[in-house]
Amino acid sequence: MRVRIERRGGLAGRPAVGEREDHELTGTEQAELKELLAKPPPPQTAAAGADRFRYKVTVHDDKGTNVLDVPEHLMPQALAAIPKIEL
Amino acid sequence: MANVTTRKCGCCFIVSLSVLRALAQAEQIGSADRNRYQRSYATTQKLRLVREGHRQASLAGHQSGLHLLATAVARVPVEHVFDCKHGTTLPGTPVPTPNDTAFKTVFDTTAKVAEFYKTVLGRNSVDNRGMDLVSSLNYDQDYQNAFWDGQQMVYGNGDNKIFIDFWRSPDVIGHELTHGVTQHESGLLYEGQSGALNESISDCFGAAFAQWLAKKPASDASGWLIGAGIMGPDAKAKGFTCLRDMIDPRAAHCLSPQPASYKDFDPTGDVHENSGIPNRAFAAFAQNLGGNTYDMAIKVWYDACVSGLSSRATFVDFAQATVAAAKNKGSAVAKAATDAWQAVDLSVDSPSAALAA
Repeated sequence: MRVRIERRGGLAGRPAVGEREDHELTGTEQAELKELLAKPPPPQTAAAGADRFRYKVTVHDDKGTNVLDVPEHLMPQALAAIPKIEL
Repeated sequence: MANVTTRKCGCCFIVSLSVLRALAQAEQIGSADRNRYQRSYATTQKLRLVREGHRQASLAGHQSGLHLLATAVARVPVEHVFDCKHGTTLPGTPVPTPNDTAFKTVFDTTAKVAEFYKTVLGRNSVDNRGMDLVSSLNYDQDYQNAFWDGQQMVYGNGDNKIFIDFWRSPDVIGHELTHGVTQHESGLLYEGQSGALNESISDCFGAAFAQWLAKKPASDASGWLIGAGIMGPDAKAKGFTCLRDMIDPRAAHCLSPQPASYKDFDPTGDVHENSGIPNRAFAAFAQNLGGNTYDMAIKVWYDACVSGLSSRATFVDFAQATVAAAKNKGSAVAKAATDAWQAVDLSVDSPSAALAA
């Protein structure tokens, strides 16, 4: 399994991205991902206010590809830390 | 015996905020109790904000007398600063006396934004009814962002590589507060063209505020950089001097370059990308006029913002609103506005032609 997490929005508006193979995820990240995938898809409504982040979580495995669009307030903390800005 | 009716006024808490604040700081009580009072203070403060929202919603139903009430009451906004201590619970722990550099800077700069709204725009705080201004600092760990959560400002500290503390740019503080203004005026939807306008309006007012604060004329290019004060050492080493440049949105020194022409509007783009188009129009308008942005240009943009703009307004709708507002200031101002929109390839006179661009 491979997971790709893209972050958009925020005041800066500069996208950030991070990718991990299954074995590269920490225990916390694995648990958060498992819980995220087990839940119903997050609502499409953004977090209240403005300049909030939005995350696109793409999971590739032998069953196919699963894409989730997750607003900042519903994004698990450890997974949210994976995307980095590339300069 | 006369009937006595007791009513709950719905506007008072049994323990006042000032008492809770004193208890939250009291040295003579144990730390556990002090922490409880700190939490109570924070919760009470939050409830006040919610209650204020309800009050405003209620007032909105009585629009005919609203201006009279607002004039009669003329509430003065009070500032509240909180410390998230690198957690994500809002608003965090109250900071009753903001002596530390960070808290003091946010407190003072936020007060200046309120002064800018009042003296330049004739507006009483974010909601134009004296709403209290709440700021939370030290949000999360290495948090690379600042945001408006619908009720208050929130500032992260950055990662000290790409970004430093997000409160260090006065334009950022003006930007976040102005999201509150937009929320209380047009309520521009945060997607597509209306979302890009929402972002642009925050950049325009943030830049105008920072220019006013530093007494910079519109001709000073440094006054049009958004987020110049929050760039970290790694970003600077790569030549990035700001997040966005309103005069030249595509410039290589922008960490987040943007389109500069309506022809380059990207319907799939983030609201922070397409905002470069109206950003450039505003900077061009101010520079066309000359002098200070805060003497005329921002007043015209503000008039457009409070002119009854739809929450789904397009770039063309907003451009037309700005030109209509500019006409009230004279033909020269109207021409400067029209020319500014033409500079970003948006025709104000012919919406269909503009949409086809």
